[in-house]
Amino acid sequence: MNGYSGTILRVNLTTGAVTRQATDMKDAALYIGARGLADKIYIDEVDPKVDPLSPDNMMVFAPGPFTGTFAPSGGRYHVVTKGPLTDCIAGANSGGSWGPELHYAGYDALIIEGKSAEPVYLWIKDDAVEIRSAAHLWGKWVPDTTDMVRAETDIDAKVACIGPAGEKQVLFAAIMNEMHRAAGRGGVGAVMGSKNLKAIAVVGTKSLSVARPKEFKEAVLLGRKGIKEHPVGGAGLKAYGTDVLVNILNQIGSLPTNNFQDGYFPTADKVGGESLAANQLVRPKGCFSCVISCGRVSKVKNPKYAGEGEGPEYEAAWSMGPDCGIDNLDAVTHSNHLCNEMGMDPISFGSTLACAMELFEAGLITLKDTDGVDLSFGNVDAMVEMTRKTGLREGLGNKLALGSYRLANSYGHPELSMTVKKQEMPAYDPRGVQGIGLEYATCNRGGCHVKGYTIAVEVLGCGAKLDPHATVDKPYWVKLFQDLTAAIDASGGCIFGTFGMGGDNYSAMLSALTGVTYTTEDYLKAGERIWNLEKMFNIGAGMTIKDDQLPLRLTTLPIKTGPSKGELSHVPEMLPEYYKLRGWDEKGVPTEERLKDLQLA
Amino acid sequence: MIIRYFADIRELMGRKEETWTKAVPDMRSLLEGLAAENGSAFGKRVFDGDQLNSTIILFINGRDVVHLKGLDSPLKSDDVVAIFPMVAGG
Repeated sequence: MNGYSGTILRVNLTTGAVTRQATDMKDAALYIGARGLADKIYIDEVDPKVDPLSPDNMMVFAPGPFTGTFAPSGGRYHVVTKGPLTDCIAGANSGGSWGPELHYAGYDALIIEGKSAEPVYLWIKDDAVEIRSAAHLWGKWVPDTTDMVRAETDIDAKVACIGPAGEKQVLFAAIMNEMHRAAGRGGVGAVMGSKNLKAIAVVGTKSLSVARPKEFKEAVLLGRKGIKEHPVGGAGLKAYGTDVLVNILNQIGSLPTNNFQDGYFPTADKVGGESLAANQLVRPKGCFSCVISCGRVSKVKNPKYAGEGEGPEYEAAWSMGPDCGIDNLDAVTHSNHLCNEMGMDPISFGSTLACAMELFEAGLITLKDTDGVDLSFGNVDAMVEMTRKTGLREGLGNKLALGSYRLANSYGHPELSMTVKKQEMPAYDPRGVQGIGLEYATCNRGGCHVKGYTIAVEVLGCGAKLDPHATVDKPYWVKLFQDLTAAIDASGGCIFGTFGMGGDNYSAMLSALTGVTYTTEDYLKAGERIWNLEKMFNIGAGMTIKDDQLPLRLTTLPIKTGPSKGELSHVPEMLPEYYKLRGWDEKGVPTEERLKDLQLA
Repeated sequence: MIIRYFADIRELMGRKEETWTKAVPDMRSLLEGLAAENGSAFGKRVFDGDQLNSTIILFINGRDVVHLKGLDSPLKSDDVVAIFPMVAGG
């Protein structure tokens, strides 16, 4: 039971029943926890064809074994459900302190079933679990919700909640914990809203046990040392945050601009991490047991956009910045604060707005549609106004709330949506960085960078230095990063820990913590098992090889300007090798042999 | 030639970019020239002995010198050089 609480909490919002079940330790050994264990619980119980916003859908919140220990940057929890944006598996994780608190309350997972007839919130204090009315909270934004729930439960309670975006089922609504940390992607907040579940407040006073304390301490200290001595984990991320990437991606000509119409934005520096550090940054901030502190506590003094909050991260600075033709960091920071306060994924929001801007410039969206707002690229005020309207589903925001695929499709031009599996791609143009395109195309939760972050080796030189324009060996690296990330997610770790730690560090910590011996190969195999489990769910949901593709623009229209001018994505050429490395058939279906090898059949 | 500085290299140099007009045949010569003009701190930051410090990323027209000829990569007067520390995010 070391590293685990041993109990899974199940709350049925339809009946009000609160039950408990023992954590299946065989599954825990195979799927580790967090993303892996939540996947296993969810996929065992839910029909992959379920309507994501129906009461039949389920949500699983789960910390990992590391969560609540002093494993470096290991305090994360994962939310697993079927995503309303993508209609496939949605897994989103978040830092802060909510995950450790759930683990301290005694739970390896929290299962939410059904739908409440009225708005409610959940109040968990160790063994005491209450479903309370949230009628007075409905409509409140994230900061007020958090403060009010803490005031009426425990001032030290950790609160995960939705804002108006989740209530109104914006398809990319997020779940926010401690106000500013987000389980951000895929619309997990909309699923919570569909269940009339406004918040989950937790206080935990129990502890976690460690199988081999001395060995665990040594492994943790070695890992911490690795991160602290790494130029990125030890200093770079704390000084400049993730937004430091704006300039490096722009300098190689792979900063998607104006809805991926180009890969270079001449004034990108104005929204980069250096500018953020000089103008909006109040202080760096870390999550539970974090030794990195990439978080940005930020303040905008410009009266037009004044306010305090956190962020933006690189992806948000890009999506609401260069992807919309915007270089005003005060406005971008303000809109990022709005996204946090309304509970909305800024990547999908910004990219959806960029799509709307292209539709507007093409004359397909008109001033009548926008209530007179000029939606041209570069219009800062329009970006800020549309942020608010989308979170509240007002005017054109009601259509933006559906994401760019459904928006563009409603105007007869789905090809203008820069999505994979209907989820907006992040801030790396796959025409200039080949491996990340393969990650976007094959990621189980749709267009996403963090589940296989090959930018580390294709651009940043962390661990290896590959030519970003080349395709050779990229399928190998994509698979390796996907498997390792799945295992780290399942452990409750932050992927930024890889800026200083490797698979050997993670497997050593997990072995000493749980008492179950994992070699580095075992650890990667657990990740591969998780990846294949999610893949099988997606196949059951109706996904095929056609869903493992990038938008046609990226394989047919070269980047127009900048250092990567003329480049195209070569995902179609890389895909067969990727499938082969995974042990899947030519259509991307896992073979029986591979599934047996992974103990999935 | 335009030289752009980023992150802590920008702080070290005290400027975002500059135009370099002296003739330099390759990247090593440019870095040595910059070190000579800007004091020892820059030289210590970018060099490890006579090799490029492993925490420095150099681009010539958007291409990492690792994929060109390293410090021996030739330079032309109209090139754009970008100097980064190892950074990351996501």
